[in-house]
Amino acid sequence: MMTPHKNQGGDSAALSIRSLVKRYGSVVATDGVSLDVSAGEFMSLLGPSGSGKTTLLMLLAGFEVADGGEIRMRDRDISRVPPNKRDIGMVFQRYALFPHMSVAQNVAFPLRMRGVAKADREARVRAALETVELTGYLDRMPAQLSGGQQQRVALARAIVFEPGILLMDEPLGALDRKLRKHMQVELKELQGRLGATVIYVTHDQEEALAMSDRVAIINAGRIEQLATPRELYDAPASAFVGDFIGEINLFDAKVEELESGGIKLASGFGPLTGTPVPGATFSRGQKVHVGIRPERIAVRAGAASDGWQAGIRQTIFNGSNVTVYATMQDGQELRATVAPNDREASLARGEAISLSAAPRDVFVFPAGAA
Amino acid sequence: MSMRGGLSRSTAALMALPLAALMIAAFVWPLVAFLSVSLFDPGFTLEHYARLFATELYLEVLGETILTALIVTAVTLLLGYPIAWMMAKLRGRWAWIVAACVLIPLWTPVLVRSYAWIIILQRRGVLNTTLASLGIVDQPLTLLYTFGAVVLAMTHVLMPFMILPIQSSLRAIPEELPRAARGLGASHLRVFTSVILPLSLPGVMAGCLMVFIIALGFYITPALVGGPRTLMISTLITQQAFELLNWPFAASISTVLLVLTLGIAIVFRRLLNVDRLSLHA
Amino acid sequence: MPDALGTRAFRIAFAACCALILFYLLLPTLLVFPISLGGDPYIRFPPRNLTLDWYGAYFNDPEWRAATFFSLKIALLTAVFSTAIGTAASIAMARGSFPGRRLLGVIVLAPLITPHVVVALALYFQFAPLGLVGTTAGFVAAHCVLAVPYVVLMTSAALAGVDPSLEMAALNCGASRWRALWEVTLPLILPGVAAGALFAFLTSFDETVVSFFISGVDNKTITRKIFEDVDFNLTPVIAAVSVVFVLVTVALMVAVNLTQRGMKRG
Repeated sequence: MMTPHKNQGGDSAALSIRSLVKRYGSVVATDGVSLDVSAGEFMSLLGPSGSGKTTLLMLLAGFEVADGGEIRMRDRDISRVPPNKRDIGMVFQRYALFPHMSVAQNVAFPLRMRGVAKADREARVRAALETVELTGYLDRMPAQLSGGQQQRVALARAIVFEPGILLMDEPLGALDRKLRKHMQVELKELQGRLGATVIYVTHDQEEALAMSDRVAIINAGRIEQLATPRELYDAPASAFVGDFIGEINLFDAKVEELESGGIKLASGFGPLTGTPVPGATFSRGQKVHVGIRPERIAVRAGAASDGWQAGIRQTIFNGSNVTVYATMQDGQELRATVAPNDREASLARGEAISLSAAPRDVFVFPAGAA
Repeated sequence: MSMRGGLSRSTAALMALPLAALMIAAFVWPLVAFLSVSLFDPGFTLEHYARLFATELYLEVLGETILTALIVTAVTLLLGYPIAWMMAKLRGRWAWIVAACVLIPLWTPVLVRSYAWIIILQRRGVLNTTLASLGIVDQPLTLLYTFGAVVLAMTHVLMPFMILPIQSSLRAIPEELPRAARGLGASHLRVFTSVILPLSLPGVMAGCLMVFIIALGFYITPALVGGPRTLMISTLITQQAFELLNWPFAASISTVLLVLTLGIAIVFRRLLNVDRLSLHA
Repeated sequence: MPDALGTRAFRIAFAACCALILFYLLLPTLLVFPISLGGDPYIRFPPRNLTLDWYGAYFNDPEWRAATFFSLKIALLTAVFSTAIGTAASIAMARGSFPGRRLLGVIVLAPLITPHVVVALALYFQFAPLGLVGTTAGFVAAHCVLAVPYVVLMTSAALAGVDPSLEMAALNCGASRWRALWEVTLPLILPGVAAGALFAFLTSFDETVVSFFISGVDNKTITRKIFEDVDFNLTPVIAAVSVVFVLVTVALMVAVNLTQRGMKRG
C-alpha cells in the first residue's frame, strides 16, 4: 500500500521538463532545462552551490513559477499548479519538521490536509513509520529525536500520501559522515522497495554517484551532462564535468592533427593522443582543454623514451593508493595514482620518471567551455 | 534561502490594510492636520514661525530644552555605563539582581516614579527629613521644582534606554578579546580604552540618541517635578494650546520639535536601532 | 603605565558606585510601598501608625474605581485590537509584498520616537470636532497607535525566527496558504504575539500624556486621575494606587519575559 503509483503504460516518463526558464531580474537561474525522469528512477541533480539546482527544485515543488517552458507529470502540465496541489512529496534540507507537533502529528499532517478519515490516517501513519523503521516514536516531539531519526520522520511525512514523485533537497547534509553513509544505503534500499521516483538534489558528488540511476550535472542554470554515474566518470562531456566528478588533471593543448584513431595534440610537456568528447568538432591549430584521470596515468621509474619525461615532486600516501605529484618538463604538475606496493610509490623527490596514458583515457574538451 | 512561495500580493495587502488604515487615521492624518494649522491664519503665512524664532523667551526655552536633554544624556551615560558593564559581565544570581534593579524601575509607570520623586524632594520630603534627622541641615533645602530635580528625575526615567543598548553591545564582544589583550601585556585601563570602549561604541551611540530624542519631547516629569518655572518645549506647547488657545502657535512649536526629533532619528537611523527598542531584557 | 583599574581598592570603589546607582534606580519604586502604609493624612517619611486604610480609600472611592475600570477596559480593547491588526500586518510584511510595504514598516515605528505631547495635541485637535474626546473609541484608537509598534516589533522578531521552509513544508504537504499560516506559522509565533499583546496592554494602561489630553470629565484613565491628584490632592491614596499599579505592571512584564524566554527555548 505504500507503493507510489508505478508507471503502468510503457515508457511515458513520470516527470518531464521541457525548456524550463526562470529569471531573477537579469540573472538566469534556470536556462532552458529539459529532462525526463522515468518511473522508479533515482535521479540526482548535482552541482556546486549557486549552479541553479535549488531553483530547479523550487520550480518542481511549485514554490517558484517558471518564466517559460513546462513541467509535465504523467502527461499533466503542472507548471502553473500551486505547490499544495502538486502530487509531489518533499524532504527538506533540515527536515522542516513542525516543531510544535509530535511525530505522529507531523506524519499525519499531509493526510489531514487531504481530508483522510481519522481511522485511516492512523493506520497509514503507522505504516509509513514502519517503512522508515521508526515505530514506537509516535508521541515524541521532533526536538527529542536525533538527526537520523528526524530524517526518517521527514521521509515518512513525504511518502505517507503516496506522491507520484519524491523530491529530496540535500536530505543527508546535516548528518555526520558515518551516519550519512549509512543513510545513503538505507535510502536507496527504501526507494527500491517502494519503487518510488526520486529527484535528489545534492552538491556531494560521492553521494550522487553512490545512489543515483542517473545524474544531471547542473552548471550555470543548464544541464551540463545527464548520464549514469559510470558514464559521467568514464566519458565526461565537458571539462567542468570532468573536474566536478572525481579527480582529473586538466591542462591546455593545441590540436596538431585529426586522425581516425584520435586527435594528436601538442602540450607543453610533449605530444599526446586523445579522444574528442562526443558532439564536439575540432580543427587543426585549435586550442583545447585536456583531461586525464590520475589513475589512468601510467608511471614508470627512469627516463623511458616513449613517455613524457618528468621528475617526482612528492608522493602522498592515501591509504588505498599513493598519489604521485610529478613536475613536467614545462614546470606544470600532473597527479597520478599508483598502488602502494608499486616500486613507483616509494620514489624519492627529484627522481626521474616517465608518464603515459592510453588515447581513450585522454579527454579532449573544447577550450573555454569550463 | 530567500522566502519563496509567500503570500499573494492581494492577500498581503489585505492583511496590512487595517494597520495602514489605523496609522493614517489616528497618526499620520491628525499630525498633518494639526501641524499644518501652523501655516494658516487664515491664509498661508509663516508668521508663527517668524514669531517663534524672533522671540527671545521662546528661543531660550528651546535652548534650555536642548541643554537639559544634553545634560540628561551625559548623566545617563556616566551612570549607565558601569551598570551596563556589570549586567554584561555578571553571571548567576547577581546578574538577576542587577537586571531586576534596572528593569523594575523601567516597568514602574513614569507617573508613579515622578510622584515618588516629588515625595523624596519636597520640603518635608524623604530627603530633607533624612538630612535633618542626621543633623546635616537645619533648614529644609529647596529641592523640588529646580533644574536639578528635573535632571535627577529625567535621568532616572531614561537610564534603562541607555543601559540596555550598551549592555547588549558589551555582550557582543567576544570574551577572548579582552583576555588576549591582557595576555599581550595591556593594562586593565588600556584594555578598557582600546578594546572594550571602542567596541561598545555602537551601543553607546544608540543609547545616547534614544535618550536625547526622548528627553527633547519629555512632558510628564518636567511638568510634575520641574514645576511652573521650568519651561520645556513640551510644556510650552501645551500652555499655548490649552491655556492661551493659540493652536497655530502650538502647532508651529510642535513642528519644530518634531522636525528636531525625527530629523535626528532619520540622520542617525543606522545607529539608532529602533527595531531593538523592546523595553525588556 | 599604572594599572589602577586592576587593584582591589578600585574594584571595591567600583562596586560601591554601582550599588549607589542601583539604589538610585530602585528608590522611587520601593518608596511608594512604605508611604502607602502611613497613618497620617499627609505624606510622611518614615511613616507612623501603619495602616491599610489608604488601600480601602482607593477601592471604595467611586472616582478611583471608575478610573481604574476605565483604564482596564481601554487597555484590554487596545491589546485585542492592536494585537490583531499588528500581527496580521507583520505576517503580511514578513511573508508577502505589497505596494508601500517599506513605508508602512517605517511609519508604524514612528510613534516610538514621536514626542507624545505632539501626538496628544494632534489627536485632541482631530478628535474634539468629531466628538471622540473622552470616548472609548477615541482612547482605543489613540492607544492602538502607541501600542501597535511593540506588537509589530515582537511579532516580526518571532516571524524572523520561524524557518520559512516550515511553511513550504506545510504547502508541500497539501495545506492551503491560510491553513499553513493557521496551523504552522501562528502556533510558532504565538509566544511573540502574546508578549506583544501584554506589552500593548501595558502601554495603554501606563500611558499618561495622550490620556491626559483626550480624557473627558467622566471618562478618565487612572493615569489622568493620578496626575490630577498629584497636582491638587497629594495624599497617600496615590501611593496606594501606585503600589497596585506597580504590582500589576511588574507582574505583566515578568509574564512578557517568561513568554519570550519560552519562545527562545521552544
